[in-house]
Amino acid sequence: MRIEVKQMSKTYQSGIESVNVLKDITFTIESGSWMTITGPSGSGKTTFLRCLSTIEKADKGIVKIGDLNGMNATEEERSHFRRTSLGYIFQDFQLFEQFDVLTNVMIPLLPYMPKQEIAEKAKQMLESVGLLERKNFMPNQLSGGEKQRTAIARALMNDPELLLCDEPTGNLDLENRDKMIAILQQINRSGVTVVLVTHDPELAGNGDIHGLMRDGELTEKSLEVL
Amino acid sequence: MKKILLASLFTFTLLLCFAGVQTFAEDTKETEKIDIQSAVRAYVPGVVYGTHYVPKTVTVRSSHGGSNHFTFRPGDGKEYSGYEGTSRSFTHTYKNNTYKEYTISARVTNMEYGPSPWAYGTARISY
Amino acid sequence: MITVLVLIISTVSYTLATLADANEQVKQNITNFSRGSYDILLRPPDARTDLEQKLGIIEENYLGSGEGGITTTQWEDVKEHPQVEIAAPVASVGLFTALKRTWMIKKENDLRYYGVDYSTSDGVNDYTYGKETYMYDFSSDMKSIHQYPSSLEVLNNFFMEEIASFSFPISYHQVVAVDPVEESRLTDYNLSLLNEGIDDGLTLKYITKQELAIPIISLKDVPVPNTIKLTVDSLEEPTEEEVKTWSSKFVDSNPIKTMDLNPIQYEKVIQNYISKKRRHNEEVYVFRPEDGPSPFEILPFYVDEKGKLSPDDGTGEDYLGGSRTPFSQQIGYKLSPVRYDIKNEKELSVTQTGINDDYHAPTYREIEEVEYFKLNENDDPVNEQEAFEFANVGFFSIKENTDKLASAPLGIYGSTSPYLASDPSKKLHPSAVPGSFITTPAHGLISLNWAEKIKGEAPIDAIRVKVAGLTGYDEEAAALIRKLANEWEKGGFTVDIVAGASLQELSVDVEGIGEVMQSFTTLGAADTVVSSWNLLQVVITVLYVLVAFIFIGFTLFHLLEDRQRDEQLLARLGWSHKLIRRLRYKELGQILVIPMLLVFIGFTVYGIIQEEWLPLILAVGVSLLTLLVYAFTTSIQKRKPKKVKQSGGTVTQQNIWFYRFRLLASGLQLLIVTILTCFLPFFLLQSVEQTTQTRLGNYVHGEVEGLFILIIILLYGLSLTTVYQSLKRLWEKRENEIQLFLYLGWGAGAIRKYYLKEVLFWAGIAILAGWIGSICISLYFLDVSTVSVLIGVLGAIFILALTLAGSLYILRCLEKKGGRNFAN
Repeated sequence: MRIEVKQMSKTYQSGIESVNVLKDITFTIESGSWMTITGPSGSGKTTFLRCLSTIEKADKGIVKIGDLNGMNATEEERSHFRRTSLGYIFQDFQLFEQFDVLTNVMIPLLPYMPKQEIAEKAKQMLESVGLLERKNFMPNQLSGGEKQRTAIARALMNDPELLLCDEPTGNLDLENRDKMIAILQQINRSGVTVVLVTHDPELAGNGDIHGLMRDGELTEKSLEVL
Repeated sequence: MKKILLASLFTFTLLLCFAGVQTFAEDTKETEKIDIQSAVRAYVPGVVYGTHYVPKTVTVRSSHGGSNHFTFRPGDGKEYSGYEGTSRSFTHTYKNNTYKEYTISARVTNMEYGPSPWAYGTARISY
Repeated sequence: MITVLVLIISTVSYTLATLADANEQVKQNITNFSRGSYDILLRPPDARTDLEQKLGIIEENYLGSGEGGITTTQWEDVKEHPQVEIAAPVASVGLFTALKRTWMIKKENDLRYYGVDYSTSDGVNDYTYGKETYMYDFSSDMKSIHQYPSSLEVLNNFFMEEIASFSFPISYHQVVAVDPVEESRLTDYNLSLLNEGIDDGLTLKYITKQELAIPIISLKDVPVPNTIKLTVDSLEEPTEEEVKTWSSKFVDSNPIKTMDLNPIQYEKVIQNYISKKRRHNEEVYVFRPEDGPSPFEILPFYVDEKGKLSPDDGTGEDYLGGSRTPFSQQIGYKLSPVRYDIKNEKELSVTQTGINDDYHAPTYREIEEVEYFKLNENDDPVNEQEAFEFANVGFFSIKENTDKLASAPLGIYGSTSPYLASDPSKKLHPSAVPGSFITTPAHGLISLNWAEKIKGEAPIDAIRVKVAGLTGYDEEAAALIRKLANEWEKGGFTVDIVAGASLQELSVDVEGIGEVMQSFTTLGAADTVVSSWNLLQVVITVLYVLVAFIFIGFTLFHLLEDRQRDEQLLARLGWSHKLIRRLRYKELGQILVIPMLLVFIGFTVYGIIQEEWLPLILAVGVSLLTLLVYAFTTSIQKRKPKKVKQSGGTVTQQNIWFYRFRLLASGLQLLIVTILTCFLPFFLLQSVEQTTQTRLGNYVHGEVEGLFILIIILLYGLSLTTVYQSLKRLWEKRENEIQLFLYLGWGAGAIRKYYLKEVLFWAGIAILAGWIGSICISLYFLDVSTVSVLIGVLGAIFILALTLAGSLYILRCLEKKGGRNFAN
C-alpha cells in the first residue's frame, strides 16, 4: 500500500495552550516498503501513527493511504479501511484480558463475518505465529513474547496491506525481540507495507526508509534512503 | 192547670238557663279560688249547643282588661289560642256520629296579672 | 468521588432527618387529634351490627332501635370508677312526630283562596305530600261564613276572621336522653336547663300542666324538613243565586258534611263551581326548612314581615292566634337500623324496604309504632302519671363538632352529612318520612331522669367514657384505655375503643337515591395510620441505606482495586509497605474525610440557622457507617486477587464474567431502582389509600405529604445518580477497550451494538431480578392485581430503556474522545 503525506500537521489543545504535535510532515512510502521512525519520547511518533491509522484526522495537509483520502474520508470509510487494510501492533500488546487467545485474535472480524469462518482463520494466524496450542489460554497466562505474537496474529487477521507498529518490542526480552523482528520481516516480505516506531536500535536498523522525529518534525536530513 | 204550671216552670227554667249563658253569671265553673284582688279568671259558657258539621263559635272572657292571651279547648283534642282584649271568640266544627257532649275548657293569661286557672263548660253537639 | 460522597452523606442524613421530622409530626398528630371527647363506648351485650362485626366500622347515629339494656345503676358504677373522668350515658327515647300545631298568616278583609303544598326532601329527591290542602274563604266577616276547606282539619285550623292558619305537615324526630351534667362535660354545651323546671310564663301558656312537661333542648339547624308553599289568590264574590246553587249540591246544604260524607260530590262542586271564582292573581310564599321552626318548639308560628315563619315570643303584634293538639306526641316510633349489604370493604349497598304513604318517598327500615300513654275520647290522658309533653327550653349547636378530626361523639348529633358521589354538593339528610335512609340524629335532648319513665328499666343504650388523667393518645394512654376496656368487657358490656378512631367514607349504593358517600367511624384508625407509617418508614430507610451504601461500598472497592495496582508498582520501585500504607491513608483520608468535613460544616451552619441538629448527628452516623464500609471493603481487598481463568461461553458471557464485580455494583443499583419503580409507587399508593381512608389519616397524610414527596424525590434522584455513576465508572474503566475496537476497525455502530447487547444481558437480569423481587415483596405487602403487574412490567422496561440510553450516551462521549489514552 502506497502512502503519500504532504504537509501534515496536527495540533492538540492542552488547556489554553496549543501544542503542535506534528508539523508539515511530507513523505511518500511505496507499497511493500518498511519505514522505521525513531525519536525521543513526546516527539509525536504515536500521533504520527494514529494519523496514519486514520483513528485521528490531521488538521491540515494531504494524507493518502492507498486509495483512501485520510483528510476527506467519512468515519465509516475510515473504519472500513482499518478493518480491511490495516494492522496495528502496540507496545503493551493491548489484548482483551477477559478473552482467551483465540477470541482475542478473532475480535477484529467478529461483527462482520460468520464466527466459524473467523475461528478457522484465527487458528491459521495463531499457527503462523506458533501459538495454536495456546489458543485457549487467557492473556494473563501468556509470556510477554506470546502476548505480542498474539497481537501480531490479531493484526494479521484482516490480511492487512499496511502494518503500523508502535514500539512492538518495547516490552520484550532479547529473545522475543529477535523473534518479533523475524516475524515482521516475514510479513514485510509478503508485500505488506510496514511503518514502525521504535527506540530499539536493533529494530531501528530494519526497514527501507529511516526517519527521525523531533518536536513533531521529520526533517529532511533525517530522511535517508538506505 | 197542672199542665199550665208545669209548662210555665219548664219555660222559666229554660229561660233562666239561656239567660245564664248570655250573662255567664253563677253557672260558670271555676277550678280554684285565689286572691280576689289579683286572681285572673277565665269565663267560658257552662253549656253550649251546636250541630255537627256546623261551625260553632264560643267566646271566652277574661276577668281582667288589658292584653290577654286566651286558650280554648273544644274538648276533642284541639287547642286554640290567641291574644285579645277582654274576650276572644273561637270557632270550632265538631264531627260526631251521634249526639255528644264535649268538655270545653279555657284559660287566660293576663299580661299584667298572670294566668288563670282552667275554666270548664260543656258543648252539647247534636247529630 | 469527593462530590459524590458529599452528595450521598448529605442527602442520606438530610433525608433521614426529614423522615424523623415526619415521624415526629405523625406521632404528634396522633397524640393530639386521635383522641376525641371520649375514649370508650360501652353498649349492652350483643349490640354490634353486622357491619361492625365484619368491617370494624360503626355507622353514625349508631343507637339503632334504642332498646336500651344498661341500667342507671350500671352507669353509676362506671361513673364512680376511679379512672373515669366522664361517663356520659345516652338513651334513645324514640322517634316522635313534631308537635301538631299551626302557623298563621294575617288575612286581608276580602275573599281569598289559600292553597298549601307540602314537600319534603332527602337532599337528593323531593317528595310531595299527597293530600291537597286548600280553603276557599268567601266570608268577609264572622257573620256570614262561607268557607270551603279541603278537610275538616283545615277548617278547624282556619278559625278566625282575621287570620288564616294551617297545620305543619307531619315529620319525625329523634329524642335522646342524656345526663345533663356528664353530657355538658363531654360536649362543652351547657345543658343545665334540662334539669331545671319550666317556669317561663311564655312556655307555660302552651303546656297543659307544668308537672307533665319534659324540658327538651332542640338541635339547632335541624328544622322540620318540609318545604311549605302557600298560594294566596283573590276570589270573585259569588251572587246569592250562585251560593244557592252550590248549597243545593251539598248534603243538607252543608258543605262540611258533604266533604266528610260524600267527598267526591264535594270535590265536584269545588272543581265545577267554586274554583271558578279564583281570579288567578296569586301571591306565592315558600317557607323552606332552614327558615322553619324546631320540631319541639311549643310556641305558635306566624309569617313575619320578612315572609319567614317565626315563633311567637309574646312581643310581636303580628301573631293573632293558632291551634295545636296538646298530646299529639303521645305516639312515638322505633326504627330498625338500615340493613347494609357488604359488597366489599369499601362498598356497601342498601335496598329499599317500602314507600311512605303520605309522600311516596322510599323507606329503608322497619317502623314500629309505640304508644307511650293512652288518651281518652276527649284526647286527654287516661293516666296522667304516664303522660308527658315536650316543652322546648333551649337550643344546642353541633357545628363545633364538625371540625374535629376524630369522630368522638360517634354520631348521635349527626355532625357529618353523607353526600351524593356524583355530586358532592348534594348533601343527604333525613326527610320528613320515618324510615328514610339517613338515620335521624338527636333532634331533641331530654334529661336521663325522664328516660326511665318513658322506656322503663335499663333505658341506657350506650355510655361514652372519657378516661381520667390522659392528655393525648400515645402508647401509655392506649394501654390504659385497653385495660379499662377489658375490665368492662368482662363485665358484660359490648366495648369499643373510640380513642384513635376516625371517620372514613364508604360508598353506599342506595336503591332509589344512587351512590352515596357516607361517613363511618373506623375503630383503630390511629393504629392503622401509625403501623402504615412505620412500615413506610422502614421501607424507605432500608431502600435509602441500600442505595447509598451499596454505591459507597462498590465505589470504594474499585478505588482500592485500582490503588492496589499502583501500590504493587510502588513496591516494585522499592517503596516500603509502611510508606505505601501512609500514602494510601493520606489519599483515602482526603477522599473520605474531606466530604465528611464539608457535610459537617454545612449541617453545623444549618443547625445554627435552623436550630436543628439532627441532620448533623445523622451525618456523623452516616460518615461512621461509610468508614465501616471502607474498613470492610479494605478487608475484602486484602485477599489476593485470583488470576482470571478461562470462562468459556460467548464473547458477551466472557465479558460479563470478567467484569462481574463492577457489573454487580451497577446491577444491584438497577435492581434497587427497579424495586423503587415497580414496588414503591404501589406500596405508597396503598399506604396512602389505607391511611387516608379515615379523616384522621387524611389529616396526618396532608401534614406530612410535602416531606414525603421530598423524601421520595431525593431517594429516586439518589438512586438514579448512583446508577448513572456506576455505569459511567464501568464504561470509563473500559474506555481503552472501546478505543482498541476503533483501532481494530470496528465501526461505531458495531461497538455500540456489542456493548448494548452486553448491557441488555446483565441489566436485563438485574432488572428482571428487581421485578421478581418487587412482585415477591408486593405479594407480601400489597394486593397484587393484573394492572399493578402490567404497570410494574412497563416500569421495568422503562428502567431498562433508561439504562440502555444512559449507556449509549456515555459510550458516545467516550468514542468522541477518540482514544487519547493511547497517545504518549
